[in-house]
Amino acid sequence: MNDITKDFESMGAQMAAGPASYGHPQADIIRKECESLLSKTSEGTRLLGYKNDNNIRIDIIAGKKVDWKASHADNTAYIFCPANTKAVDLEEMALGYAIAIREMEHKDLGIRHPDPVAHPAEENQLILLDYFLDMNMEMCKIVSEFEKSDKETKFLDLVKKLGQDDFYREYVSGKSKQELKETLNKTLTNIA
Amino acid sequence: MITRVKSAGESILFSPATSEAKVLRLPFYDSFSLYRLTNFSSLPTFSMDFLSDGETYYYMDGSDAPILRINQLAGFKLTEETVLAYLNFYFCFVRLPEGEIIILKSPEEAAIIDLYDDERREEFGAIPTPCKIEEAKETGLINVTVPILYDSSPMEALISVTREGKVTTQPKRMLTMGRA
Repeated sequence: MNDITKDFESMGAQMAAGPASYGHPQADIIRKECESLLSKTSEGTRLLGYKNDNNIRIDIIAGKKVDWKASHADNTAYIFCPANTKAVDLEEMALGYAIAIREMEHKDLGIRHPDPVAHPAEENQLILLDYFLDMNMEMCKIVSEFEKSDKETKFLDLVKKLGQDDFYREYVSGKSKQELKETLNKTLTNIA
Repeated sequence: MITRVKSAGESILFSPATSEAKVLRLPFYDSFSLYRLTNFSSLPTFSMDFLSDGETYYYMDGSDAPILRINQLAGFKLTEETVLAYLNFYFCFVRLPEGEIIILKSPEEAAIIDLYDDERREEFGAIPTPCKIEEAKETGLINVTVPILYDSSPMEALISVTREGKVTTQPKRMLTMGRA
């Protein structure tokens, strides 16, 4: 599973008890490796440029799985990575990194985020669909660029693992945004 | 709880107005429980988990360090009765170099287990079939032979747990879904 480069290895677990920082002990290395990988694609390079141009801070937090939370309030994307980085593929982290930046970009793109307080449930469902549609399409854009240079890229395994293989194939076949939205809607309905 | 776990640098993650805390008792600890802090300020929501005695909170960072620390501190009760709950809990919170491991209720479950089904992963009381639990008196190890999802495939594995709660997993053979 793990074939992360040698710099991206475990340095032992971080114990965060009480009001310490939850920052990952290898945050700098994780940022560097993710950005290095993403910069191999034009979309990844564009996202990194957006992050730099807008002074977006990326905080790497230790956590049980790869996840992210974009906070427009403090112009920061929080990205979670297990303390033991050997447990994570660099591709998974890099994709989370890219998607977190994309979510930060949403405010400029006018893509709304679901808010259980501000919006009624039905409206939240529609907002959530558009939100996931954009995230999925962004993921596909990045993965398809990696696939162009490497037909066996591990990003394809990741797409399968995420259960988005059908969506991805439809994306690369040139399906319209509306068609992809219908596919995603079916997927989300099946999960629910 | 939020006051105790809130960090200066990441305070945005812990909004008292939009967060909810839940607690779950664990059969292998007397004084420590699992606490989950979920922030509902935006969807999808996100959660952070802690082991705590109500005073000190140990953040579950994806490694086994907080668990082993609490095992030392909290009177870890590892028996043939609690070992499955412990292993379900352990594999839910610890990310291993081998990837995600899930103890399967049956080999057939491998075909239907969902990547996003956190509820299934948090079913600490799940009982696998078949299941063999043996205590090795001479070593103190509790050995558990169960079907697991390992590297996305159903395998039969021998899982050994020390008195301190250290876990080692040895995949033994591939299982065919439909029969063990």
